[in-house]
Amino acid sequence: MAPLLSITDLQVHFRTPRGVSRAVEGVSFDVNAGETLAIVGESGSGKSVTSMAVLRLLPTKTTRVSGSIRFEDRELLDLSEDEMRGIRGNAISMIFQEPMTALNPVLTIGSQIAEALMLHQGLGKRQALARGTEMLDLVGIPAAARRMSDYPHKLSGGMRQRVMIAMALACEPRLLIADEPTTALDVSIQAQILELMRSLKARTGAAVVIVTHDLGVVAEVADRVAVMYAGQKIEEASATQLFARPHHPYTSGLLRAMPRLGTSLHDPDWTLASIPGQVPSPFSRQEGCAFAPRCAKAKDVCRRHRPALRPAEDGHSHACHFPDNATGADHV
Amino acid sequence: MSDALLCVNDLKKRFVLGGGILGLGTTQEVDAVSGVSFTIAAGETLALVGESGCGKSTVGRCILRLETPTDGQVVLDGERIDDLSPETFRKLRKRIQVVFQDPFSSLNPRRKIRDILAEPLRNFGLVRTRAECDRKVAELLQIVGLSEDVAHRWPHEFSGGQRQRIGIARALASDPDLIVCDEAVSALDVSVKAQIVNLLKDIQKKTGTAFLFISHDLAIVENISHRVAVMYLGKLAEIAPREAILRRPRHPYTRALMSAVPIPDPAMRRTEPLLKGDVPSPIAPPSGCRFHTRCPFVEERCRTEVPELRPVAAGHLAACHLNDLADGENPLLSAPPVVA
Ligand SMILES: Nc1ncnc2c1ncn2[C@@H]1O[C@H](COP(=O)(O)OP(=O)(O)O)[C@@H](O)[C@H]1O
Ligand SMILES: Nc1ncnc2c1ncn2[C@@H]1O[C@H](COP(=O)(O)OP(=O)(O)O)[C@@H](O)[C@H]1O
Ligand code: SF4
Ligand SMILES: [Mg+2]
Ligand SMILES: [Mg+2]
Repeated sequence: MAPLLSITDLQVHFRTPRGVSRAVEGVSFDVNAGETLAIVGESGSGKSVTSMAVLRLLPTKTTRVSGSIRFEDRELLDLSEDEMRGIRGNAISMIFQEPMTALNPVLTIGSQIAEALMLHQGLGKRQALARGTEMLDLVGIPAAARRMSDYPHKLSGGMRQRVMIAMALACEPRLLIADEPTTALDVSIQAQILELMRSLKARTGAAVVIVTHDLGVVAEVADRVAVMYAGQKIEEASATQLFARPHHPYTSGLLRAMPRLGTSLHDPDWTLASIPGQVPSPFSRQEGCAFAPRCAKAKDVCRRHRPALRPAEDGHSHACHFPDNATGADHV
Repeated sequence: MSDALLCVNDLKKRFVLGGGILGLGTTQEVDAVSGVSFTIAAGETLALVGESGCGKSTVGRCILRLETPTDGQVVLDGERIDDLSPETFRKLRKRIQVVFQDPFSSLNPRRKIRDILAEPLRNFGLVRTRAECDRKVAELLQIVGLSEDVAHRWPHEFSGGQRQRIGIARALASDPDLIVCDEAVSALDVSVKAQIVNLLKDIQKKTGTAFLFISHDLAIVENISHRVAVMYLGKLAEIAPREAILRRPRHPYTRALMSAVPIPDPAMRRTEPLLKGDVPSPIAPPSGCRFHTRCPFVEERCRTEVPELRPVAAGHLAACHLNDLADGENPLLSAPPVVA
């Protein structure tokens, strides 16, 4: 079966007063119907820009996008703005880290959900409101009918995120893109929202792309994971494979830097592993592997030749000259 | 405790909201902190954890005198500091420093790094000559792992992690006894977060500075703290040495907080039930035990009787009625450990 979404060699460059920002540099990945793909990486690695590119939400004047983004046999980069409007919030919808940026503060929750249903599903107002109430109920908002007439600011952060999810799922999208949906929330609320996303995915069968900097969140929800660093995808694998046998030293480093609650019980003197240095600037992408300046394994070849992304066993691909845990590592 | 560096006694802070000019209109009161007590020993790290809005920063700000407590005492080395005049407090200010969360707004963008670091050195009269100042600035930069030439650059030239190093250097300038770190690593990327946590631990080893480490992230807290205090809606739920908290939390909220931390292993699923609902509004906190609306163990008396924070084991205090039960009947003692 053809993938639901297929991104090939996506490049996104921004023109800025400081020069050209190479935010995304040749990223490719597929999302299959019904699966959850996590895009993980540190801030500035190009995760949000990649997901905004799919919905064509980037500023057109200053952005150069190239490559291909195919969704259900349509090339999204070739669609007119009108055609894109028919897709956004309908076949593909998106939720953001801060729901207030996406909710209209002067409209009630009810009218915002109903609007999307009337626009995309052609429902009448009364039907749309009824369906909206059902959706709020589905995402676990207590007294849903009453909440429909509330304004967004009356709700807590967790409740707003539930409303966003209800709105995003109202039109039964085939693809839901969630950009750091729990980053602004407390852990107890994060756990609730992740649980909600899991159960809704099982019910609706929508594919999910979840963008996050948090490997803990990845472990909780993802089937497959793409790791980004400095605008490139440097590794992709099933969640199980990635956590058990990371190939890219950056992925290994991130996993080691992740604290696991309870470690001190076995090792009271334990210190967190860190990765030295910092993420490179998007204005000065250097030759070779972008991670080389921070990588303990880097050799000359790493600084001179950018490693190509190569597939290893069962869909586990990586872009490293000297991968960790890999059988048949290539010798350069 | 006589050997305590800092002693916080029954600290209270109430904010009055609204009211408008002349006190017309309705006012509401928020008990951001309602009777919090703890001590910090010299060279110790006490972590203060809890979800947003529970009053952690307000506790820190009261200690730093950025807020005036409504009631209670803050005692440094046996001397009350909460009721000192601003002038007298200023002399003590160098002994308590702070590192905030946002490395982007906490450094003055119009001053070079050298001047940012020189300011506390001069204000507290710690250097006399320019040469002495330069030497001290270079030393501070070296302690936080930055090179000397950083002194001549501007804040905007640095990444979040590097700025946080500069913020730490500034806090260290006056050789303080205590640094309040308010979410000091929360905004940083994972790989950099680890660098800064390790830096703080190294600094403590070398200088013996104590930390009040305010954070919402238990997994990070575990790595840096000697003792942990858990706050919920303005009160302490529990306070204990790190190991005791991890092995056998004696408050259901601590249990819930621990089990909500994502496990970075796709093969593991949490077994503990999730906390339901949101944190109630601090404007009208629940009666009795403030956690009773979300507590999986709630009993009748929890709704009316406020549980006192009292000893449950050596150095371990908790505020939950379950601990009044005989050990064999206390579900907190028989439940499976949250982390193993
Ligand atoms: N509209 C824009 N104009 C210029 N640069 C941008 C714009 N949006 C994002 N960028 C830059 O693109 C890079 C990647 O950003 P982003 O995708 O937001 O990272 P993240 O992985 O944290 O989501 C960053 O360097 C960011 O500053
Ligand atoms: N200056 C203030 N005025 C009014 N309310 C405040 C003020 N500062 C904090 N609060 C309230 O006090 C409570 C505790 O806040 P805070 O100490 O910042 O919590 P935390 O740091 O744990 O997130 C919250 O309800 C917050 O809204
Ligand atoms: S006192 Fe009651 S409600 Fe409060 S934490 Fe203990 S069992 Fe739960
Ligand atoms: Mg982002
Ligand atoms: Mg705070």
